[in-house]
Amino acid sequence: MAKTLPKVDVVIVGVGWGGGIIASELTKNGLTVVGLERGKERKTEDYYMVHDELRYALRYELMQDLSKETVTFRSNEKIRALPMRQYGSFLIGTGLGGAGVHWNGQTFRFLPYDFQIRSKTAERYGANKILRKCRFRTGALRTTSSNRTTINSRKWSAFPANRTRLAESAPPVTRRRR
Amino acid sequence: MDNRDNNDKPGKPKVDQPSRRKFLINTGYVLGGAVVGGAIGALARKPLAPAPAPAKPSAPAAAEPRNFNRALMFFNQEQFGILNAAVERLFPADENGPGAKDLGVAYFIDHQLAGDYGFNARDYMSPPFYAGEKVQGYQGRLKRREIYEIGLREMDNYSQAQYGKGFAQLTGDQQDAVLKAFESDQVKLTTISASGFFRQLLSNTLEGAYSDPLYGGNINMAGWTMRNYPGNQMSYANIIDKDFTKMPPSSLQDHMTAH
Repeated sequence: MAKTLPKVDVVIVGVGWGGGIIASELTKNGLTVVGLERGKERKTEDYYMVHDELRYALRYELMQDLSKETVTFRSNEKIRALPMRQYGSFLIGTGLGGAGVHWNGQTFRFLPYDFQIRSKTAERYGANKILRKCRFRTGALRTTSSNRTTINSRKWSAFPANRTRLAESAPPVTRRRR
Repeated sequence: MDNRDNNDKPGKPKVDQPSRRKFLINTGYVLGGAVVGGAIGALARKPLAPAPAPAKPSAPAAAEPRNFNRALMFFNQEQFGILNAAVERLFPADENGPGAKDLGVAYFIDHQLAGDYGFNARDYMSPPFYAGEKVQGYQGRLKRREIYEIGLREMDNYSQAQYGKGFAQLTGDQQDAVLKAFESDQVKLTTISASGFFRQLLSNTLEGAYSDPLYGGNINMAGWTMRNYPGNQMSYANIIDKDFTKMPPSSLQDHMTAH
């Protein structure tokens, strides 16, 4: 028997960095949001053996068990779509936290220069080289007056992490480790 | 451990030349040396011993504890002998340090194939099976343990056809020739891809040499020591602002007492 739960304004399937930000913005605007995650909950204590390259980087412990569920794909419509039987080009995560947990990119410490780009650029090339109206949009999504949410995909991709995601969903061409 | 399974590009860098690790500086080679150091010089240029049994130090140090991990879960003795000879050609002992034999790589592969990795337990292995494009990755129905059984048998068959001896009985140069014939698909097999098997073998060899000793290879962290790799340190916070620091490697087992 299906259990009927109380209705909410928004249900987000997958609460990683994308769904998490969306949930944050929606709740700030007064909406009630339920986020759905699959897989188990994980805490810092669960990663006591996390420095295990074989287990995590090569055997994909944090990724979805492909024997349960996988995707089919093809590079163009002329070939037959076949299941992704083993991990290679892109990874499908599982478990609470999404890519915020299993993202294996590296974020390097800022260098002193990173905080001086504007002044150093002006110093070397002149202040005229800096566009006056160059501003970064940090809001990935905008809430309209009717509380409907639209995501501007171009702005969304301005986040480096989301760019990685977009690249992942492109048809895989070569087998590369991210 | 970059090239790690069947679907990689062909033409991987050849690793069967002893000179490939010449650039490594072998300064910190202490831990492994205590165990296998005596055997290295002898093994380095000698034709491989025909015996399938692993090289055992004839007079182990008095305090040396027995390693009960050195036994087989999957292969039989003959398969293990072929595998042990093959991985040593891919990752030979030389002046830089121990080879695959001394690092326990064949045991690592045996133990891996005995478990879910060997059964492709986390791969999608259901029908229907179709031959796919290269970009679609592995589409076969054989499991890794089956691929190994076939691959090792075919390596032995090819050795018999070419030289009248089994793979483990060949000289090092002959073994290299067999491995190269597989790598370049000169050997035509009906069941598996010869080059695919070679790449699988090469990937697993590197995994066995450099993964945590927990898994049976990289004995005494000798693979890491050889490369001055610090293993898995809990933190570098106390040295990150200092000059390059050499440190003895740390394994996952060290974390068990780190509370």
